Amino acid sequence: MTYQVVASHRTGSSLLNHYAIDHNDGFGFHELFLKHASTEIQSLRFASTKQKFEFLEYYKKQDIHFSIKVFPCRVITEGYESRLLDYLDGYKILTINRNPFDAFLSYAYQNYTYWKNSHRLVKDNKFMEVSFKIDCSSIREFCDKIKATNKFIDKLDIHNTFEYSELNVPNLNKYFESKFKPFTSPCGVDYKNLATNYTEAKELFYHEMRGSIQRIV
Amino acid sequence: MAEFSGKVVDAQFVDAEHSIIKVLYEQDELIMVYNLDVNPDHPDYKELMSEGWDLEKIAESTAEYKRAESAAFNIEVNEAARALAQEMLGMKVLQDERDRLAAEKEKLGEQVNSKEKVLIGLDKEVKIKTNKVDSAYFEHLWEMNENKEELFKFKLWALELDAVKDAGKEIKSSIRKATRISQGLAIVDTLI
Repeated sequence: MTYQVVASHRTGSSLLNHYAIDHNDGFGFHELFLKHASTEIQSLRFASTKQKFEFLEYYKKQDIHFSIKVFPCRVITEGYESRLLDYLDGYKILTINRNPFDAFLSYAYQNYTYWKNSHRLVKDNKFMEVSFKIDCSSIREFCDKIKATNKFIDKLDIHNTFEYSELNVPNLNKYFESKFKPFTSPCGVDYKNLATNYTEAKELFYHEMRGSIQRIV
Repeated sequence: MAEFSGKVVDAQFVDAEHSIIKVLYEQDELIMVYNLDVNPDHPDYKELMSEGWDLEKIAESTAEYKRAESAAFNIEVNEAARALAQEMLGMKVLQDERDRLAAEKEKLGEQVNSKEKVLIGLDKEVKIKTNKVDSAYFEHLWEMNENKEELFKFKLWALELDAVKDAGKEIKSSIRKATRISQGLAIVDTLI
């Protein structure tokens, strides 16, 4: 059976999706619903969201399945929520629990460093670590996306929820009964020490999230 | 750090007095707009200047935008005028034009057929003289053997074949895992 990864940004979803795709004999896509999808298949990279759905739905009917990673927020904003729910129906849905503020710190750090080093590469284990200032003006938008994503995930029949801390090679190999060797690993950055306005950002973030049901604790 | 920092795509003056600047910047794959006053003491203004957008560059960008806008307007006006003229000329003119194009198309079609016959003849002659068979199809297939996009298309095609659909999970899995078209064809071949 094919897995689908539904998650928020900066929760380790890329690593999990590598495993899901490998489990499906390499038949899958990373962030297919990005405007310029992360795929070497030109016709899909520049296809519209509607065309991407048509592609997935057609092959699902032919019993040909792809593992994909979805950040549902963008798809929902474009008005395709029910179509996404229909597409995901019948698949094993995987998602991830990560402290939303930690996810935000990772996102803020990537924004600060212009996404030049979005994942730690296993081959050289290098990751740029610099002191940074959190852009607090992006907190509201990020929280809104998390809330929308969690609301969507609550509508799904989740097959398994991984804790962010569980996303390592031994655990994932065990779960997928695989010997897959991923080429990225969690960044493992001590954002608290690197961020110059950590306390201020944390206070603002929790203020923004307050009142919402937090799926990720 | 201003919200547009590091993401500026363009900047233009909004008003004739050049007192307000419209900064266009990219965020989450969208073009956003941020208006700021021409105030050398304001941090956002300083930030914009620090990214190389001085008043001269902004004035040039504004002029370029106006020129493009004017050109677009002229095209629109010309299109409207043309449509009106066509209407005024009446259906007779359009009919004549259609007949003329149809005749031209037929004539060109005959020319293409004639040229094609000549080329096919020449191709045959060359092959006979050089004692060569037509291998272009296979050469192309070989060239594309490991091309990721073509390999992906092949897999989708193969997985839709009735013989593959009726085959077991292992066959489907091996086709999905194939790293070359020839490898995939060999798997399909076992099902014939």
